[in-house]
Amino acid sequence: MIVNFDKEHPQNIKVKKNKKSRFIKKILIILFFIGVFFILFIKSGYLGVVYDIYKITGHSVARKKSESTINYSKYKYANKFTNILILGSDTDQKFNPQSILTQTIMIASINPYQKKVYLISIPRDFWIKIPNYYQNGGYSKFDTASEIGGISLTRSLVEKYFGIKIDYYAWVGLTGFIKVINTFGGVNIVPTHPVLDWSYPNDLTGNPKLLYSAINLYIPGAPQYMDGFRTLEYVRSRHGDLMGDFGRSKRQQQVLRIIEKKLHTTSTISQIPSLFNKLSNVIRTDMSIPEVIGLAQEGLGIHSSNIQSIILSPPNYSKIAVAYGQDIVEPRWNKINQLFSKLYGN
Amino acid sequence: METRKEKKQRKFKISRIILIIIVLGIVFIIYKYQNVINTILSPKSFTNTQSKYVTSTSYKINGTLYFLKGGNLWSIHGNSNKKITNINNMSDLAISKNGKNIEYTVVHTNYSNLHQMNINGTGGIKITNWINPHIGNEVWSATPTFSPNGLYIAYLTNLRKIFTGIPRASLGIWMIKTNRVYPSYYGETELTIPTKYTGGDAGVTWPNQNFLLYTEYIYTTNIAQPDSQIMLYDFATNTSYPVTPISSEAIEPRLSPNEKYLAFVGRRHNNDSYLYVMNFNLAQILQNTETSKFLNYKNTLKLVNTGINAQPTWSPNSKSIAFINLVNNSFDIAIKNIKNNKFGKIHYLTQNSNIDSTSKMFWF
Repeated sequence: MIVNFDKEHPQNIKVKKNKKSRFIKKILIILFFIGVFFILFIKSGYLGVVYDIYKITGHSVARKKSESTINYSKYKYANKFTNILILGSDTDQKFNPQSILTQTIMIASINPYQKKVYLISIPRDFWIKIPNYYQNGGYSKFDTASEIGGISLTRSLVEKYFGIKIDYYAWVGLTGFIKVINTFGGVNIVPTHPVLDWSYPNDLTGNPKLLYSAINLYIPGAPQYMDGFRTLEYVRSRHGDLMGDFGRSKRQQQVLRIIEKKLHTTSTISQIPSLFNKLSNVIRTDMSIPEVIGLAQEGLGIHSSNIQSIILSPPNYSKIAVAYGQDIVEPRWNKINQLFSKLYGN
Repeated sequence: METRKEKKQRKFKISRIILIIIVLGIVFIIYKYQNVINTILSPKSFTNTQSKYVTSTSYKINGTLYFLKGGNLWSIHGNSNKKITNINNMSDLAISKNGKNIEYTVVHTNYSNLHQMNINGTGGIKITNWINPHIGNEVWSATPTFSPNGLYIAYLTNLRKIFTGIPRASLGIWMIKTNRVYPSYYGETELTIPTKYTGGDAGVTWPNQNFLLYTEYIYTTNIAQPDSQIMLYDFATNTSYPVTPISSEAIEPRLSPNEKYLAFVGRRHNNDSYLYVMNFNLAQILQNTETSKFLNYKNTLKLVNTGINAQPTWSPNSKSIAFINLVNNSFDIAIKNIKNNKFGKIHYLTQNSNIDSTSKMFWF
């Protein structure tokens, strides 16, 4: 005979009922947490962010064996800084994505301990010796390094010549720059001067026939609002300056500082989801997600007045010259080394 | 035979399965449509509100203030605003002293032209006619200003390159008659030769028949970027005199109608532009000796020393000053009144209106 304990022992019935109610409770708790999880993540847009951020981050560029011979300890306290190599390239359609001209080469150094930031613009025409390069006596302009050996060569040359370790790189193309600025709602800017350029590149029309054509450009000097496209014109134009690239480096640093200021607004954190959503595919970096967040936290804790902008321009840090029929910028290494010792040495 | 208890248990099992299916369904829908849900629920991105309208505040002004927004002419009378034109392409506003004619530029890719019309938006004509074949000649017409007698227009252009063939990457001040008929550029008078590669002169105003006030950009010790100062062009001697020192980084000079005060904007290194007022003494400026130079500048009064400010504009009685101020990410019109020789607090005439801050305003 099969004994039905449920029927015969009310105690057992109670145990089973308790089991059921515990199971229901568990289900409800799980459902509650699933609900909370999704509400939180959807409300803040993080589901999209996780996907988008992976498109931007983690594009590591392998270090070559030759890079291990670089003496990073040249500047004793350089390791207190996190150094990011910021690269801005010409029209994405003009070059193979793996070998682009980097028209903007900038080092952003963040020191969270001393709460200071350096933005150092390296002239694209800096005349340097490039390993395993056999034209022009082995010399070329700095901006060709990425064309010759990709981001890894540019990074190793920056480390070699300036004696600081580059921890990360961040690359942005022209359309990427426009998107970045538009994502921040454009910039309100007090121009350094009116910009008049008789040969501004007309390479963003989408028409391949116009890729190498030029237009006239005039930007008045009055304080004004600029959207991404206008801001690109402002930071990219170089024929309207006495010193070409050095003038635009100054304007680039000005815009970077405006963006930095915008990041300090209280609404920034809540806008991170849409920020990443819009910037995926147009920015690349070898940073990981926690590194991006960590750096953002470090950067946001530093006041704008502690950001120092430096351009390695003539006459202090370089001089204009001609080599192999090209207009070049000859670095004054003794002055540059003095500067870097001062900046990173104590 | 299924007992009542078993039936209950079976129902409970089914309801659990249904519940799990519903949860999984919700999870799937959320995953599948996360972008749509994100768009609806996530906060909006950084915006610069580009409203089509001008939102006036309750503050009333005496007279009528004209300005540009979204490529159109607007006015504020008291505290009510009015859109006068609907052509969407106006920049660089100028209004004749009698308040009857307006001058403006229309910017195209590669070039820009001067246009003129009546204050009510009728009777538009073209004053210059640079056309697309000028690519490479970079002919621009910018920042027109009427002479007080209304017979001439001074404006910025790089006609110098047309005549000399040398690119200067700078606009200089030229003068033409208001009744001029394009297309010829003969008969134009060159007033200033701008410094090369500075972008040129800027912010021209013609407050008195005898002189112009403008901004000159010039390279000094900082060869990466030019500095700026306010200059006065004297028609009697065809000479320009400095009103502020180069280190002032001053732009956008505006003389009060009673010619006692000069308002201007000072650019500051942290991407700010402050508003200043100084006494104006023509004789002292024309004297231009080491002892007389910049005497009034040394006693400049700082009216607004924070944020971005632009386009100071005096009221007809010289007792109020309107200017464009960046507030909440929007360029809006603000006013300061003078009472007992002191400037009072800021009153806003508009809010969230994104006024065109590159264009002058006019107050009648």
